[in-house]
Amino acid sequence: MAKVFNIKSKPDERAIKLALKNISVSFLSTNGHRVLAVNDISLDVREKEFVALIGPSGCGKSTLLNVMAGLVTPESGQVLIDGEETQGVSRKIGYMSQIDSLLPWATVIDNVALGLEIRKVPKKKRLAMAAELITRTGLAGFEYSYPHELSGGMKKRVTITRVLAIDPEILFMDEPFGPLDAFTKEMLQDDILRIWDETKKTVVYVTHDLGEAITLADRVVLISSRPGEVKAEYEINLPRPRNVMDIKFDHSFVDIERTIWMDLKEEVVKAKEGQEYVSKIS
Amino acid sequence: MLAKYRDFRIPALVGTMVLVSVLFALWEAAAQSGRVDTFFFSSPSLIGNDIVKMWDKGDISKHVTITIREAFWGLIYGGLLGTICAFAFGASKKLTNILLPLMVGFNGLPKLALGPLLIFWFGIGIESKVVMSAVMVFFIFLFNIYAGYCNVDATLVNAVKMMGGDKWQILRKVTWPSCMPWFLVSLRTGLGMAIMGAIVGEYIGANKGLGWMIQDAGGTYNITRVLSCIFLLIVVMASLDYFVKYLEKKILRWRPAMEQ
Repeated sequence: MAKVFNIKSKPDERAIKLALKNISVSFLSTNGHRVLAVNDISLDVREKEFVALIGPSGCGKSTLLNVMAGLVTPESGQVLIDGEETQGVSRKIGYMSQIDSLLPWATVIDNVALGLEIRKVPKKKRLAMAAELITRTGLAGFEYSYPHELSGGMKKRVTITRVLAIDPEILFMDEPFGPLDAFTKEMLQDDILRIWDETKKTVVYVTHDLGEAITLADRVVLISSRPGEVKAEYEINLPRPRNVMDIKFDHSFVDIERTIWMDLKEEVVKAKEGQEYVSKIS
Repeated sequence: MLAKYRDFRIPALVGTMVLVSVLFALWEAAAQSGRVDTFFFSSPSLIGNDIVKMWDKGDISKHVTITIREAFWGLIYGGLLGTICAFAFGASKKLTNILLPLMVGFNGLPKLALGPLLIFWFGIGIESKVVMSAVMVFFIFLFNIYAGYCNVDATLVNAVKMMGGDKWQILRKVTWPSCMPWFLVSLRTGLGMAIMGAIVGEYIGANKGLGWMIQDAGGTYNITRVLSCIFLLIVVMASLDYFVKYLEKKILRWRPAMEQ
């Protein structure tokens, strides 16, 4: 059963948007040991593809995303965007981190316009663009609120709007809805599905929530416990447009989830043993 | 208590004034009845008369203005230099490693010890007081804002970096606003320090200013005059502090209101 999802049904003719070639990352732990976080990962992401990276916590999936984003320099390997090797941060990328990264001293509209300001769009134009996006994402009426006045879900929505404002070709999302309640999460996932359907951006989405990965992605990449390696890839052939509420009760959704979960469980157990081992030696 | 009165709150300022009036009344009564020697302790009525007299003679505007001017320029120079140094320290690890121990050492020094040197170098005019004031203010800004710089949220820096922000944009959009609360704290503490620097400077050598007046009156056992000057100082300090507090409230609107 598992093999069915592991085999590509037809060769993909879409161009490769983002390619990782033999990426390895290691860092020094506080007690001076060299820890290999990511081990020789190669991955191709095609144009307009939605790829989810999933794996046990601490497997290096966020590190991998930071490498793709140019925030972390890998020890070895290359990152190619549109076939060209990247140095540092690329302007084609929009990045949404796990932690809230709205500027607390800026109003919603100023936060949304931030990326445009950095790209030196004139003030009048960027505020008009931001105002339009704010209306489209259902944040109208909160333009002049400060982040601390918003709920967790709304802050996330502002963050998404801010990333969309710079109209990136590739969107990186690192467990964006981690700490939210289930209902808010589902609403935001619906937003993501709708936005992706409208804009067809290339998306790399890191999560440890398997259901979320299957709901959103075209392809799920399972990263093994530390050191992170690509353990398996699964094509998710569920029809689009999808709906977060309904898709969960789809028979094939449940089948896919069971298949991936068997592999994921192994890694989670391994990761846990690894942590115990580390705590024993240190 | 009646429900109607339960929400009625006395404004804090009124409370302060009532307290001060009561204390003044007790002091006055004690002085009038002869239980307190006015030669040593003066009395509110004597101080009041003295202040009116100083006002009429134009002493208040002259000396208070001098002291405030010294403190003001001290605050500007010390604050500006301290802020710039704090950012330089924040930006360069190397510079910090070399200079920070020196700065900590200088800060430990009682600034009063610099007095004779400053008088020698800058004369007994306004300059030596401005420098004294600036030296005292400088360290407050330096250490506070440097601490603020070290506390800048890396997530925000990364977010701006990811949007393609350069160093200057990160400084303007993230570092400076997040140092703002620290800057305002420095401004409030620095204000007191600036006045103190000016007064101390005037103690050591001057021919005008509130500090000089206190010193001069003390030398002639004019306790009433000393206390009038102290009273004026308190009023000046409190109103300046009030102003900075107001500024803080305006500028830090983005922060969630602090729970009492």
